[in-house]
Amino acid sequence: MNSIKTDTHSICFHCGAETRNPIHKEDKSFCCNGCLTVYNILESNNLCQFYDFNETPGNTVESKNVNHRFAFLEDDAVLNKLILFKQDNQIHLSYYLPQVHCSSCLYLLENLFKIQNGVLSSKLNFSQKELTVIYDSTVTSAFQIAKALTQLGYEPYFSLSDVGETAPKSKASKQRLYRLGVAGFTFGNIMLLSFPEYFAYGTDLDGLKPYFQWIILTLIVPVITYCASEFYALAWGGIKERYLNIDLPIVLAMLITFFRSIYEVFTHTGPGYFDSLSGIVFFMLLGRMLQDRTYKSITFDRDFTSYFPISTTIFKQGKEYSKQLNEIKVNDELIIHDREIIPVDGLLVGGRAVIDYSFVTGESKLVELDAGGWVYAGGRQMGSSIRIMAQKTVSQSYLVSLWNKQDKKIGTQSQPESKYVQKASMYFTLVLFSIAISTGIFWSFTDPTKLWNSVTAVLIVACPCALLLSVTFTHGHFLSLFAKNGLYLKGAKSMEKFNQIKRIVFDKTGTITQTNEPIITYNGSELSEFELDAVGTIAKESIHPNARNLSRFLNRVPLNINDVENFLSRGISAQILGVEILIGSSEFVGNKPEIENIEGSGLWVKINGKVRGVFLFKSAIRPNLGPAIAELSLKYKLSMLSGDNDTDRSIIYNIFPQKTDLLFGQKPHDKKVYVEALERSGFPVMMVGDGLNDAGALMGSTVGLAVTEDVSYFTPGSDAIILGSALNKLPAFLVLARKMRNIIWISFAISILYNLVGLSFAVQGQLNPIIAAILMPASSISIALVSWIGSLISAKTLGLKI
Amino acid sequence: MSVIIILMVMSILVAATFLGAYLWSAKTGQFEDPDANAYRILHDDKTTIKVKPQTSIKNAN
Repeated sequence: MNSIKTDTHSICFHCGAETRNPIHKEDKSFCCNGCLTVYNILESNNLCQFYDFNETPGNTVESKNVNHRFAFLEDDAVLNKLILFKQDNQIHLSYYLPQVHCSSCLYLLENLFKIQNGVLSSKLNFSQKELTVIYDSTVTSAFQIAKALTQLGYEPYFSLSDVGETAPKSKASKQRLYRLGVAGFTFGNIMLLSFPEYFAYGTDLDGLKPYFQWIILTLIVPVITYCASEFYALAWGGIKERYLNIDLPIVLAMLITFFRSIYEVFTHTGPGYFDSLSGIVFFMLLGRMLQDRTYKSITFDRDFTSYFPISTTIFKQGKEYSKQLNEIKVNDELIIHDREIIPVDGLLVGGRAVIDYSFVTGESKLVELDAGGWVYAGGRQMGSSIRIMAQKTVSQSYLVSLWNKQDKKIGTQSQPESKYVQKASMYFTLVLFSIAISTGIFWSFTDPTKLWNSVTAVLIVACPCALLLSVTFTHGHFLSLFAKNGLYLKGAKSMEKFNQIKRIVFDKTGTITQTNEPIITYNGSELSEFELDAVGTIAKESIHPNARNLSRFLNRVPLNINDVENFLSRGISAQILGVEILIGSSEFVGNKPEIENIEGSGLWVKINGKVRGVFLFKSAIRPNLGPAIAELSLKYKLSMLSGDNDTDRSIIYNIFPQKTDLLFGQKPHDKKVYVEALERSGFPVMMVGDGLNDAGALMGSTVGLAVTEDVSYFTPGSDAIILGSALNKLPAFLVLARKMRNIIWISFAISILYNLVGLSFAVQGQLNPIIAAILMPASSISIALVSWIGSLISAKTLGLKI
Repeated sequence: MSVIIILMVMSILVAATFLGAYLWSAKTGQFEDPDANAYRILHDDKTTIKVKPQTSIKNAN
């Protein structure tokens, strides 16, 4: 039996939460029944290994009714869109589980078949947090599995985008893996087979050379036809769009090398440059791969469909049904439960709405409405269920139109390289051609037999592939450096745009301030330990965010509570062990405003008919953000746009220098207009914001930086995602981006040095394959080293993690 | 010396086998989720070991 007792302080064996009121089982303590249930399930299924890999690996399990949340999984029409594969009764379905975080999660989820009957197997993709379950539909259902997962603390998340058109999974990256493998294979083997050519001159191996050449010739075919195909495609794209990209001279050099080598082999004039050719292709593929490494768990291009749930509950002829969002029609009656998102604009017909629009507007105050009021899509109902009558369909609602208004900036994908690479490669190509031509002219007068030999040698040895390598390798290193420090960039291009920034615009709520952890102070007559317990208990019963924050702040053992009465967004009253207690707004407790000029919002406490004092809430500035902002203001002009009105004005004034533009009461549209006006007047903007209310501004800015507490949360479309805790490193990131440019230039210089050495041989018509075969890998490797060491040193000097 | 030709062909065949293994692993998605595989190797079924203490608890109750 479970012995239930309390002690002062302990840590939950399952989830690691600190608790003052633990439930004990054997020698282990748990913070809540949810966690204990999971432990019991694991224990009875012999899965306690879960606790061996990591300490307290579990997720805190909130006991809540989730039936209506997964009701759509019982709807065949929805289910069929979600199913990946179906054969007889075997169904493959994948669940997105945002709570997955450690190796224990993997262990538990892949042993799901031991817990849930009918599950045949499950496989977790850890980096995408996606669990693919194969189950027998005669024994269990998608709904049952979703419930079981929720019970274990992994509530699956389905969004509207899951049922939309399935985006083609990137087969391109696999193709690149294949090409890299083939290129590596041929490069290695051709190098090996070329040794007799270099060293066996005059020995009895000489007679074998033709055989070796034939093998090499066979091996080079897949390199030139298959591995190099992406360079052809990019070069052709450049020609079609009439602009010179770096791929065109590369392809030209590759083809010249190939045909001259073929010519040499067939005329028995030499061995050709096949080893260099395959090496170049291999290194270039490697560089591009490093640069284009993506973060699988992060999505940069979310639209409203990933924010909305798949379905909602509608009320029809006295019954509740689940209906897909896309099928909601005007005049459907919807039921919105506690903490659910309102999917369409509509009229409130039943219940009292307390709506949190902070994601849409940036205003953290709750909006209250009585029946007859107009609710907007994107708001989150806080409190009991409400009924609304849809007045628009999903695609016509305000939230969606906000998203659609954004003119999307889509760069042409056929130009993967950055501007200064384009420029550098253009000059490079021009210089190269003039050297080739003057070499040709020189030899045509002195020794015409050397003409073709020297001209093609110039073009072979001075292939601009080294330029490409310096850029791709450096980009790759910096992308991973930024990611290690909490800044996730959409691609190499966004990294370069960091250097154009002249102006930084901040959002307030959720960016400068932390909404989930306000600073709470108490003002009034002192409360006893018992009274604090009582306040903590009653605060826990409320749904108001301030009360919830208070209960978390006090962290008290809940007492026995009776007669709880919630007065929405005004306050709450209850009896606790014979004491009458009220907490709420100033009017609610019947207080005359004695303490004037309160900054932020307050929660008043009245115990046994006597007003005792007030808990004050101030938004907390993110730690260490002040110095970071001061540092940024030295180099950039700053602005701060807030959706809120006056609250917290003084703390904002404290951290921003005087010349900052501080604007309050900004609607999403105002923010967008402000950013776009700056952009037009020639100040490239970095917009730092979170939430949908900044979506327009993020899109309109040169660099849109979305702030999030956790990368698996939903962020609006942006160029980069930054962890809230990494925001104070922003000055260092901006310096680092500048250093990246220097490193690229240094590697450029090195590659040009190598080219000069090669050219000095080539113009004399003396480039023999062995020199090419030494120069090419040497230059590639030294560039790779310089960019790697350079990036590490620059991150280290800035105090960033490496 | 013609034995070298045979050796060369064989060495290329060996290398080709490795290439094939690489292509197969890329195709079956083994490079897509490196973290999960690193964790998975730590997990093994300890069912037989774990059963014993469990039954003893039941007896004690």
